[in-house]
Amino acid sequence: MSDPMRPRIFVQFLDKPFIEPTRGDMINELRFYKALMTFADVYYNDHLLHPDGTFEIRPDKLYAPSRDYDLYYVRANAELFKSLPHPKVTMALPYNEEMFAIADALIVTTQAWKDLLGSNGASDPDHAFLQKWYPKGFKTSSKIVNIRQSIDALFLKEISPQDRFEARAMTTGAGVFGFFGRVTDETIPQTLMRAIQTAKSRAKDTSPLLSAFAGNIRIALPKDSLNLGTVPYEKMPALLSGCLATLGQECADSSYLGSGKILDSMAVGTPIVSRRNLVREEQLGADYPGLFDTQEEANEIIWKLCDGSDFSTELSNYLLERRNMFTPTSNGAFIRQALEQAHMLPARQPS
Amino acid sequence: MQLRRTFLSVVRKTVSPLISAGLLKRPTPLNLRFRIVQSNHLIRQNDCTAALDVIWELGQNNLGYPGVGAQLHKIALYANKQKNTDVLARISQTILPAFKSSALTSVPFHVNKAYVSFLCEDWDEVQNALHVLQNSDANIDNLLWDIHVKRGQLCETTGEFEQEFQYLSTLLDGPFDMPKVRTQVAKMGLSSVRYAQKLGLEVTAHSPLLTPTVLEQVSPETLRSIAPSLPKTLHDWSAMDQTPRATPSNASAADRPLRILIASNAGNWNFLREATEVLEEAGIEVRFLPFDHLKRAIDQTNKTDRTHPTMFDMLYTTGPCKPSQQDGFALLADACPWAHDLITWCDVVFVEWWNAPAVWFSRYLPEDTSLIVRCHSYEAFSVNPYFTNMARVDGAIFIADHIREVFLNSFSLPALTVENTTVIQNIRDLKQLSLDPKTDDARFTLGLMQYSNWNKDPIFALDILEQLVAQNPRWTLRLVGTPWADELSDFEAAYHDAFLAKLAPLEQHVIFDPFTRDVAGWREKIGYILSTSRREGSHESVVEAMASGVIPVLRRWPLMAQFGAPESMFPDFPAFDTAEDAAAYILAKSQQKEDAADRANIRAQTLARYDISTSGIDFVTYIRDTHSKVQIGQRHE
Repeated sequence: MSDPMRPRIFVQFLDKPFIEPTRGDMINELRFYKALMTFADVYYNDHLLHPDGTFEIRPDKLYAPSRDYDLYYVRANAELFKSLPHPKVTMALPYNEEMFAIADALIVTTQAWKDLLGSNGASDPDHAFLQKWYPKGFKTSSKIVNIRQSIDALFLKEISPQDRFEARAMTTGAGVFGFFGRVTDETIPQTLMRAIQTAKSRAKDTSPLLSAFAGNIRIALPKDSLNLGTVPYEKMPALLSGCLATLGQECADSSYLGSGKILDSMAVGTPIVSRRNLVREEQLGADYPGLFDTQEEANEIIWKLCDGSDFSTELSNYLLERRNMFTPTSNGAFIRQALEQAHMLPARQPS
Repeated sequence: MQLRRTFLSVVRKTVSPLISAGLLKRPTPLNLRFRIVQSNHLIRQNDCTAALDVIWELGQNNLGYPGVGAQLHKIALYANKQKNTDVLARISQTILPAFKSSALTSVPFHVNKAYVSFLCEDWDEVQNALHVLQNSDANIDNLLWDIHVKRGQLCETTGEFEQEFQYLSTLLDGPFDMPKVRTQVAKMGLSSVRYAQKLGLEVTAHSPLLTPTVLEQVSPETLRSIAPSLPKTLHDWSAMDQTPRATPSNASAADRPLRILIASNAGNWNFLREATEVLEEAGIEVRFLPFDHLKRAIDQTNKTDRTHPTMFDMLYTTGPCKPSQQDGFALLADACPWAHDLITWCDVVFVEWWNAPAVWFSRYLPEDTSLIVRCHSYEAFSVNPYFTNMARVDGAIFIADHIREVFLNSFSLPALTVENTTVIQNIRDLKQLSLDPKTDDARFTLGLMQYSNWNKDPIFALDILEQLVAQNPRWTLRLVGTPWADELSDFEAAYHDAFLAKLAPLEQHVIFDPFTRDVAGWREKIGYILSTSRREGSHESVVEAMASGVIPVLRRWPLMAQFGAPESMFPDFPAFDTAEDAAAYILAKSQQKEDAADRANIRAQTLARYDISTSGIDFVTYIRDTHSKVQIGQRHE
């Protein structure tokens, strides 16, 4: 029996009757729902979601809302969105003119993205991100709510010795720089790949180094890298934990969208190396020592991660401390406050 | 290539309406080219019947038309893939009789006739046509190759491979397409071994020896009959592949620890965590090679240059077609440089599971590195050991003695002798398992894990239960694990039916527990762990239960009894041939007063024999000793 005081939130992604963590976009949606579940009852496709993201009975088709909800959140399903009562919100990506026109608020995952949309693109009108995803001269009058991204609780659990061992074996026991997710010419961090090559030359035989890729790999990888293919989601914490460091994307989207993979690494305390931008500073902190602006800085960071110094431990400790900001509970509180301030949820009465 | 494709597309679009309109009927070479283009298009559209019409409409007017037979062959092959039986039926009923009754004598006619005859498996007509052609100056290499491939496929049911191996042998000195021959030698080799492993029975399986009907015929004698029954040419070529290293392996650098590279296939690292721990605790450096990376890299190299072998070729081709050790290893350097670096880094390659990686390393590992392979169970029944260069395997570890017996009977090449092998239990940290507390009912409860198949034979468990219930209705059997799948082979379905029939009168005494990760919690409810299987390797769940103080009840595994199991695996405990004997043993045990002491004793015996503290030392010692012997050239030959 759920608490009658908890808000009830209807959520829907595309036209999928159910959702499971098999692709990046669904993984991110589920993380959002799990954060919502820390303070609300969340109904996906009108079916109550369990805290672990599963259903009592998995829906086999789309259902219309059978009760009144305190808030409706729909991503990329205009027909359904039009039919729903208010208050209703949608993710600010992908752009849909009809949905944007009737939404009470647009959801974004970073402050940088919020600021960009809030200025209707005026703050960075030429950025490739804006040109890729939004029409020219795009304007919105909707409220914009930053929900931030959350760490999945799976990444906070203790890793079993066998999973840890298998991750070590599948990456050969070498020092591995991991790049996971969608691997394309656009996303692959060329600056860091060059930095790893430089570090390999410096390390010679003393410390074997490899770059490893897993996920949706759409390009021919360099011969001297590991192609781990598709790794089951539940094995990712161990794999990340076994890496020397993970590499952040360098594409246009990464300047404004957040990265769940950055948070995954943070959750297990594996150093992240990434080009500095507003979003990375937002998630990792402007003082995070793994951010670089130039090739020389990237070379230096990668080398310091390989040379056996305390740098790796320093980064790891920093991340483990910072992860508290992004746990489902703390991020749930952040989201609730943001929704209340935007009047998408009724404000709580002082107790 | 793109230009050619565009040209053919234009040709097809131009001539297709003309052919459909009944024009272009004159048997000219250009018309035939048009029709081949059109029929190829129809094949791609999965319409082989129409493809046949397009060719035969022209061919029937001139059976001596060059290329008609080859195109009919192509259409028939694709029709077969598309399960279109109509095409072959029409070739048999209409086209073959037309050739048989024709009085034509030209060379192209006989080529066409040979193709059509062998499609219909009319070997007398094939012979007649070939006889004519061999006395002509026609180039019939492609025809002979196609006939060979077809006959090779038929050999999978007749077993008459030798003639086809001899044909392949004749191609080796000529200018024939070597990559094609190399792959065909590999395919035929694999098929020959699979055929021999059927032991004369009719089964279709990847590993015939592991199918129940064949497994029931397995004995030392039948296993030893496999190698001699292989085609002579394959036998000779395989013998050529048994090449020991020419020089001892390099001495390991004295100023650094021994380096071991552990290779395993398809991400199966299940039994290696504790093994790695004991190696590292002994000061040995360990790294890992997931073998599937090598396969991907080698196959990618073949895609860009067909003269390079595929991984399949490297593993299963034999004799003169097998790449040399040097060429094979050099190929890896180009295809997967990091794997090459790992192999050159180590002193010893340890291969987990006797499957593809064991074959590959035995064939291509440089001489200065030692090779040790560990065989668990199913691999001893597979085809892979046959393709292993046993002379290059410096040491072999078996996890149970009876598995070694099976292996050495099957692959009794002089190169791998019992002296080069050892038996070392799986490396398990059993001390972490505690003496389980027991529920009140445990004294009267039997347990069987992962019960749901013919091999585990839960009917035998029900037979035991039946005997016990007749004495005391308190007796219960708990079956834990995944139930039978929804879809079963006919054989498994029949067994399942028999199980249900046996279960019916005992149902109230049987509890089905779903698959659980809390095995310790499940063991608290049982006093006896059953091993009722027909075949096992080490039966890990029984060993773990024993370490928790559960009394083992061992059936004498009927398919392994001739190889000394399970006594060789469990020498401290009795084994039974019948359910009656097993039940009598359980009843006697249940009447003993010293239950707790008995259970503590079982745990102590188990730890002494099977725990990491014993097997771990043996494991490290064997690896170090084997490498040392190799360095000074003392490996037994």
